[in-house]
Parts: sequence; C-alpha cells; structure tokens
Amino acid sequence: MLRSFRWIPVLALPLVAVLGACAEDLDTGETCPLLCPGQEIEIRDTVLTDIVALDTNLFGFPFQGSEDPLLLASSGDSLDVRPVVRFDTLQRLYARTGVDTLEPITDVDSVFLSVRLSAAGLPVPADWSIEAFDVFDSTLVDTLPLQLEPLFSPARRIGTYVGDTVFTDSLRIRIPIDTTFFRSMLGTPGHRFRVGLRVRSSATVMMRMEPSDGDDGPVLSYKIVSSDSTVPSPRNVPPTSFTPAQPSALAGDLRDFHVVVAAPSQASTDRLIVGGLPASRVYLALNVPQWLTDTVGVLRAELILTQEPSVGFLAGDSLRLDGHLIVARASVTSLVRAATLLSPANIFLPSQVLVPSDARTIRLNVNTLIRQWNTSNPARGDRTAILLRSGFEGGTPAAFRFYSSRAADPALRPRLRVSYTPGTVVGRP
Amino acid sequence: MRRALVIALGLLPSLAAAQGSIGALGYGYPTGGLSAAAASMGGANAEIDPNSAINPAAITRSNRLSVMFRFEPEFRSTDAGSVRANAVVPRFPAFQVTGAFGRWVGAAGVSTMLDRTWRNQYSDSLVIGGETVASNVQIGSEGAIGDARVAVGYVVSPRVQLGASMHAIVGQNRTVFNRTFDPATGVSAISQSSPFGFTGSAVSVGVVAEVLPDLVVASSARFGGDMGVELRGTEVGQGKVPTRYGLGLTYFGVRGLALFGRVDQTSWTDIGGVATDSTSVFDATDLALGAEALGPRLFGANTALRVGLRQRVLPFGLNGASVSERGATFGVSLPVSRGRGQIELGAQRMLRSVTGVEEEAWIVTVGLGIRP
Repeated sequence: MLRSFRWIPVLALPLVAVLGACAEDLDTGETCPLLCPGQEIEIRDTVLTDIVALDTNLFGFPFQGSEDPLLLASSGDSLDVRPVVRFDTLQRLYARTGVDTLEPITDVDSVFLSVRLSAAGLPVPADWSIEAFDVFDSTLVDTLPLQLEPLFSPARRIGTYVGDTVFTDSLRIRIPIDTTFFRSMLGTPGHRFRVGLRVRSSATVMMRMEPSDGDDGPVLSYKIVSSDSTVPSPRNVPPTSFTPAQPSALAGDLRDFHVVVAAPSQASTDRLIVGGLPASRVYLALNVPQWLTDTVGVLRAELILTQEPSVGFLAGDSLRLDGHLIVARASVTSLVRAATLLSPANIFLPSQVLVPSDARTIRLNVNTLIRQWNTSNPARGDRTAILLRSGFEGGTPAAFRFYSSRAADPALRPRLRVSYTPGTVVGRP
Repeated sequence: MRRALVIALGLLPSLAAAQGSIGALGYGYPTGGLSAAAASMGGANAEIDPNSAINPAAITRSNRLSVMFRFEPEFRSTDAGSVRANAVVPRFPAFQVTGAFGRWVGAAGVSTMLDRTWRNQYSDSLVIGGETVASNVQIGSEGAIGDARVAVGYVVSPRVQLGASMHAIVGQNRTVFNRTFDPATGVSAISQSSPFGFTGSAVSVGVVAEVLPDLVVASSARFGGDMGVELRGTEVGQGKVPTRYGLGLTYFGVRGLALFGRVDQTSWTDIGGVATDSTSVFDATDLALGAEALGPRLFGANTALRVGLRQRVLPFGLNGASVSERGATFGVSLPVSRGRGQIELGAQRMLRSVTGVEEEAWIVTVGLGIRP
C-alpha cells in the first residue's frame, strides 16, 4: 500500500510549489478611501478651561553650588552677580630636598587664579575688568548676599584682571593674586582662601564662568619661593570646600557658586515667571479629567499659555523653554522638593525656543504627557503636574512671563486644547 | 469646563468596512463549507457531497474512513472608479474526517463560515483642530468565524439516508488599526488592536433520498442558536447563528455523467447585534448548477471532470447595497493509489459587483483526500 501512495507526493509537490509561490498580498489600499466608507469616527476639538489646579512660581533656582555656568554680571545698581570660589585645602607646608621635616611656606610668588570665561550671546564692552576679593570670614555665612557683599571692599581686594580685548566666544584668563596677602593667608592657620569675583565696566557687562563641575573649571597656581629651587610648586589646584559640615554633600557643591547681589525683581502674583535671577520655575498642577486620559484617543493636546512681553536684560534674545513631567510622588508635599524631581527635558514636553520680549500664544504639546498619566498614574494617586524652567537657568537674567490662572481676563489664563476621538472600539463591522 | 466643543466629522476610513474589497465586507467572505470537489461545481452537489459541511445525511455516502482538507488561495482584482487593487488571499477553509460503522457514519471537521483576512495601507488627511493633517493608515484583519461540526448519518435504506449534526461557531478576528502623522504636526499616532472572539451553536438535520430511479433529492437545514461576539472577555454583540435551508437535486440518468442543481437560502440577518447597525447585512440565496463526468483513467482509476455555475448574494453589502457574486467553476479529480487517495484541483472564476465597483477573482482550489 505504501508503494502505491508514492504518487501523492509526486503530484502534490509541483502544486505546492506553484501555489506556494503565490505569496500573500493582502494590501488593497489603492481602493481606499473610495471603497472604505461606512464608519465615521468623530474627531472632537475641545478647549478645557479651569484646567489649572495650582500654578505658582518657585524662586531660588538653581540651588547655590549647582549653577552651571556661573555668572559674572554688572549693570549699575540693577544687576550684580558675583561668583565665589573656595580653596579650603591648600598646601601650606613643604619639604626641602634631603630634609625629613616639613617647613611652613613663608614665601610665594606667581599666584594666579585661572578661570574660563564665555561671552557667547552676552554683552561684553571693550572696557572691563575682574576684581578678586578675599571673602573669607569665619564669622559670616558667605553664601548669603547680605553677609557676603560687605566683604567685597577695597581693603579686601587681592587682585585685578583688566580685560584688554573684546571677546565674543570664550577666554581663559589668569587673575594675579596679591602675593603678600597670599603669603600671609598661608601663614595664618584657619584662614581659608575663598575668592569672590566681581566684574566691572562702564556699561552693562555679563560673562559666564565655567564651574568646577565642568572640564575647564577654576584652578589656583602658586610658586613656592625657597632656597631649594627643586621644590615643586602647587599648580592647577582645584577648588575645595569644607563648609557646611552637614550635609557633607552640600559642602562639595559649594566649591563654587554665585551670589545674586542685585537683579530685576520678577515677583508677581498673577504672572508665571520662568527664568530670571535667581531663576524662577513654574509649578503647574493640572486638573486633567479622567475621561481625557482613560476613555478617548488623544490626537493632539496642547497646553496654551499666553505670553506677556518681558523687559530688561537680554529679553530680546532667544531662550529655550523646557518642560518637565514632575515625577515626585504624592507623598512629597514640598513643592520646591517636587520641583527638583523631574523627568528629563524634551521627553514629555517638547522644548521650545522663544523670545521673552514677545507677546505670543504658546502651545506646548502634551500628547505624551496625557498618555503617560493614563499608563503610569491611572488612579490619579500622584500629582498630574508639570514644571517649566528656563533652558539657561541661572545663566541669564532673562525671564518668560505668562498669564496665570489668576489673570483678570479669563481668555489669557492657561487652557488645554484637545483634539481626540471618542473611545470607539474599531474593527467590529 | 468645556468652553467650546466643535465636532469635526472626519471621514476616517472604516476599519469595519475598510477592507478595500467587496468580497470581504463585514465579517468577511463566506467560503461556504464546501469541499474542493463541490467548489469545482459551484457548490451544486453540496447537498449530497459527504465532504462538504452542509447536509449531515450526505456523510453516509462516504462509507469508510477518509480525511479531506482544502487549500484555496484567491487572486483578486477590485476596480473602484479609476483605481484598481490586486490582492492574493490564502485560505484553508475546510478539514474533515469521516468514518463508517455499519449503517452509521460519523464525521467531524472544521470549515470556515466567514473569512476576514485583509490589509490596507494608504494615505489620507484629517481635519484636526481646524487644520488639515496628512496621515498614513495601516489597517487589517486576520482570522475567521469557523464552524466546527460533528455529524452523524444513518443509512435507513439504500434509497434513504438521514443525518444530524451539531455546530460550534468559534473563531477570532484580530483587527489592527494604526494611523500615524508627521511628527511635525504634533499629532499622536492612534493604534488599536482588537481581538474579537466568536461563540455560537447550531444544529443541522438533513435527508438524502432517491425519490425516483436516478434522481436523488437532498435537503438540509441548519437552525441557529445564540451567537455572540466578545472583545477581551466582554460581550459586545449578540445574535443568532444564521439559519440555512438547502435543497439539491442530482440526476444520474446519463451514463458517466451526473447533473446537479442546488438552491440554498441563508438568513444572515439572524446575526443581529453581532454586527453593528451601520453594517449592511443581507439574507442570501445561493443558486448553483453543476456536472461531473467520468474522465480518462489515470493510475488505475477514473478521473472526474467537473464544471459548474453559481450565483449568489453575499451576506455583507456596501452602503446599503448588496453585493452579487456569479461565476463559473471547473475542476478535476485525480485518483491515486486506485482510489485510496485523490487530489482535487479546481478553479472558480467569480465576478462580484455592487454599485460602481467590480471585482474579479480567481479562486484556486486544491483538495487532498485520503481513504486509508
């Protein structure tokens, strides 16, 4: 019987080969949409007002010690930003060749503080100078502007760099430090070397300074003067900080920081401020209705903000506006703390480059945000909030101003425009 | 909260009906439960064909163990206005095992009731927020509503056979819908995947009787029970399995030739809420004529040559109009191993039409039967 069945595969094989060559080709899209009518899907376009549960400004960003870059700025009495660099650890002893005991350094020369400056997009006049001050006082808190500013006195000036060129990109300068002061400081136990920098000019001047967190931060160099000419001298000493003692991580952050002595006030009760000095962040908690995230298909959702023109320093220059999803859980009750627990920029809210002096209607696409709240926060146990911040936070005095939910004219308040399809299940004829 | 509500009705191509073919509208193309041999005669002999899942009494004509399956690709061309779409749709619409025990014959098998396999990709535009936005659409469906049947037949006498069967209506349509937009528009893509599952039951009865010498009359009826469609465990529609009545005549009076005629009426509207109100559903009458002649001997057994004509209405229409299908069929049966096996080859040339749309299809049928 098996022998007589041999014809089956003999005949079937060519058939399978022929039909197998007929690869599946299901696509008949050419006849659509002409031949594909029937089911109409609604696209609804809705503007949700009263969408804001809470909008407020949070000032004081970035935290001292985390500025990147540091800012040097001066414009009469209206703008004054000064960096401070701490060198709390310095070599104060040395050993001559062939001598086992350490000796104090009693003489030095060629003391320089080297910093990298950047002037891209900033006003830098032809005449400018940077003065260095000894801002160490163990009885004061040098991170507080009111306590720090008096230390920038002529008696405490320990160096000056006179800018002799107009630069528009970046420049590494060496600020000469008074050797007499430095020698004395080294010989005085407990006197830490903390340098305050102040830029001066007859016109408005601003510069950015690379912080110690960067690749080209400030460094200190000095030469030990000794009878032994072979003694190596400290070169390119990086900043260090011992205070505050607790928390210890903060001491490290405060190796360098800047202090805003004077800046245009951005305070407002019914405007949302993004940027400025110190920079403000906008905390925006949204009243997102459950139906929007759970039962409809969102095609496009835009948070609409109405911009009020800003005036002041650099207001006419472009500046990036970053939006972040706040990932802080509901248990984080401090808004300032919540404003630091953020998703990366340009993930859930696309960044936009805007001009602070413009008066525009800003549309922030929040499609991804809506979907995120559907999947990660379906029960609304956590906040549905976003945070707006300047793309150059702390590095520019420019700020965006938007009308808040407290604006007198309701048409200027934040609102959410949504285009969506109702939650229709497609596929059932 | 909603300050303004503007409803823009965009003519999104329907996933439900957007199959781009008039042969597979609604829940799909009714392959009809025919064997390869019956398909080669337009279904004209289906009422007495033991391998077609039509008349349970007909299984008595298969008096020993046999296994049959069928492969049936369709080569389709659809003309709608100035555009033409070509497609190749593979199908495996039937499988059946039959065995005899004295006067009793049993059969079990699965056949496709409605095949819903299609896919479309095209571009169009939508008005979103007052702005016309271009988009790309990818939609498709795979799967079928199947008919799992267990039948029993009884040979009352050489002239009269009876049969009954139970049907379980099972299957799944897996539909996908993707609409994408240029990222610069800020419009998010829409994606939806919907696995629709089907359940239902029915019973059939049938009779085959030689009422006159050389004239056989066969008739069957399927009485539909409840039918439901569910999506992810939730029933979304209810109806009945379509009731069907059929009558077939066979004349063996000419030596070496058999003539067949069949009329069949299926109440597709019984599915009721299984389909949405927007779907055009029609009761369908199926008419077929066919002939089978002895062919030349091959490998020690006779071959069979078959021709047929068929006309019917398809169950699902377009915009309220029904789709008619008519066609000519032919085929050949090639026995192997002196009748222990057979290869059925056939082709159906089908023409379908509805207002403004014409569709041509070649359906190639390959069946393999084994009688160990």
